[in-house]
Amino acid sequence: MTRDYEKYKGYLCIVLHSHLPYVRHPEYEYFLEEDWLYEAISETYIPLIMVFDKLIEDGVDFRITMSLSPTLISMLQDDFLKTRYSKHLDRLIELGHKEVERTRGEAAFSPLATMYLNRFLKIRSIYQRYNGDIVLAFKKFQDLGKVEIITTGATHGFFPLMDVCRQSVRAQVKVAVQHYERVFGRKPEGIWLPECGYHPGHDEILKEAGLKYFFVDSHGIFHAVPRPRYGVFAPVYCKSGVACFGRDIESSKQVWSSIEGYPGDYYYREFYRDIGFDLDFDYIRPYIQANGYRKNTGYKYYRITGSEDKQPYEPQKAIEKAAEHAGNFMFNREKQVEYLYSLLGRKPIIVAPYDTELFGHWWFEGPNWLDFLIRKIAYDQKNIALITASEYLQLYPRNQVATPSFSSWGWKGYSEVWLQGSNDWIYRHLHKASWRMSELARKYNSTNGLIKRALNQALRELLLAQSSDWAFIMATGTHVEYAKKRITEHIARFNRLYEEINSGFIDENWLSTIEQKDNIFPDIDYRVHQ
Amino acid sequence: MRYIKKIKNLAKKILTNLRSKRKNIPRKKSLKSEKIKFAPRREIEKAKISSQSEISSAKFDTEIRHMPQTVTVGETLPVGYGDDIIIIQVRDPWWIHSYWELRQDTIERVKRNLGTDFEVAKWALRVFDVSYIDFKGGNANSFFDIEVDYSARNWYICVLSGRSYIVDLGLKLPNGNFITIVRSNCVTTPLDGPSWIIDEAWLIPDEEFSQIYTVGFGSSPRLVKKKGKIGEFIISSPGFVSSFIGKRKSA
Repeated sequence: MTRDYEKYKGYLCIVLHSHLPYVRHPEYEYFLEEDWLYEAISETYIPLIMVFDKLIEDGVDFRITMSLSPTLISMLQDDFLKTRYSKHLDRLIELGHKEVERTRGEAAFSPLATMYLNRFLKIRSIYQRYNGDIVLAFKKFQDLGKVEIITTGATHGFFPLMDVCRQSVRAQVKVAVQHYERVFGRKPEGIWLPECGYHPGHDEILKEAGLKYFFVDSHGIFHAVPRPRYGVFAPVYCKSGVACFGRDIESSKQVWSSIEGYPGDYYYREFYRDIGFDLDFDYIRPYIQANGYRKNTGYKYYRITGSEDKQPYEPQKAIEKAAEHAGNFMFNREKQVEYLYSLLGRKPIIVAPYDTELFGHWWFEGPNWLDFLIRKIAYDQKNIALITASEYLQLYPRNQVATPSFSSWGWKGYSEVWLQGSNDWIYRHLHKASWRMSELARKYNSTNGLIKRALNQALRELLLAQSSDWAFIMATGTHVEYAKKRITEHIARFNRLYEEINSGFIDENWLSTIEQKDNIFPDIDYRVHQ
Repeated sequence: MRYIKKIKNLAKKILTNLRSKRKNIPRKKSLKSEKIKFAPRREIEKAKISSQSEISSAKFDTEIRHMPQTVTVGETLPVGYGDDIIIIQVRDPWWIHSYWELRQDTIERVKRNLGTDFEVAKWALRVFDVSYIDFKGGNANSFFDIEVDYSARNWYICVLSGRSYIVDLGLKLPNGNFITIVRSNCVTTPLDGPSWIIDEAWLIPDEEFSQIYTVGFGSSPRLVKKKGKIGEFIISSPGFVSSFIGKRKSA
């Protein structure tokens, strides 16, 4: 540890959870859901890389904890998707040139068109600088000691609803940890449980995998047994010895909430006004969906405004707001830490986790806000320090032992988002596949050739079916058909593999086809599901 | 100073709740006399999701206003897997979800055994409270029955927080006898408030804990006034605001 943490009254642990489900469809010329990745790269991941690079260049010390899901990393490093993203970006730049022409002479919009064009050009140059593998950028930040990258479930399965077959929880964790080691050349220290979903006992599985800490939502700690002495402002150790940190609601609320939250400020950019919908069809046709349906392009010229009569976006004012909000956030944390320090008699840790994609994609100015916040914490105050969970545990190795409560960070705090009328039908299939996978792993303890390939593919199909995203999407109501298709296809492929493995006849052609389709985790070993 | 005062006032309220809560311990209640609440799945239809979930879902928002018809589900899944099974899972401190499947020959066998009684028998779930015991079948703390529509194949069951449950799927005869056909796994619902178990080495006065609790959940007096109870306050915490997207859309 190089920093003198002793001089502060408390610590702030910002956690950015980055995840997208594995979506890759070479069988289609264009596939709408692949845009999730492309938008996140352009609007979130590369803007954050720009922020972190500049902070390092300016010699600003900082600590950010970031989870990168194995599915996200796999997509970011996939050659096919990299090529598609480059083309996508080229098209956006082409559109940018047209927009600069189209808006020429329009005082409100011309500078915005230029801003977006320059922005996309910058994004392309950064993308090219990392040879299309932006995971390397985050690895660099980790190697420099500024960002601690943690893992999450292999495909982001929601663990509490996998408890009836813990072998699946174990497989999610082990595959993720092995994947992390291959990508980052070291073991992960901690894990972001998918959807912050904790079920008592799963810490044992984390322990087996060598993980030292995880996070839960506030009530996961506050309702722990026995009652936690310091609430969410210090971790507890599970009986397994794995540390558990609880989320601070107040700091979350300021960023997430529509009432008290920053992103709803009227000067910030409006997410829902996009030229993909606003402009003449013939003009925008080449930049929307191949089938002619309109979609977001990323060129958004309005600010939230506060009324239906949206006003043009004014970047300078928005940046000023981001600085103001960063100042406000820091001030509140300072006050919170001072108060807690007097109350607890121990330096509190404030854990503030967010979806990474909030920054930039949803909240356009989010990366600027984070940049201001980090700089202000470094230079404008003396009470709080940014910290990682690992560093905190080195400072405070002695913590209370307690069992955190079953919890998640979803709506209402438990499983309801992923277990309700719209999606509860999936569990009989998911559980059956899990039990069958365990049965296969036991039966074929050591094997090779075609059967081994089929067994490994069966585990890939199971893991892909388990992504919490499918149930989440069914609950939220957009892209529902796609989510159903994904679960159904992966389970159907799993079931067929199960039948074929047991019958001793494996259709190699078909196996090769699905190996190419669902090509995640090339080094997977089905025996992790024992 | 105002910040501190605000928190102290809130803490007082929560403390009162905390103390009243403690009086209720142990919270073992006879479930038999309780009015049984249950909800078939259709009642719990479309999820209302928190602002956070809505923002999270924005990453999936390509804002398609017309869903393209390119996505077709090419496969179908079996209706069942030929098992005799009932599985229960925790939805939250007050609800568990069950799903089941019985083989046709199992149903035929039950039919044969019951004879004419089968026609008048009702499909039901027997919900056993097995908290803190090694359940042997006859030693549950308490139980209650819910008549169900067998063909629904799943059911949400209203339960108590911080308790363990096992559920039998079976038939209830007019004389009150219950014929178990298949038994579930065991689940434990989470507590809906702070634990009453204190670790002496990490002792904390109630008053202090309620202050920490208040800060931990954000110090909005508006919310606390509305909710009053600690448990409710907490559960509402992840969904503490109205729809973010909704607000922005209507802004």
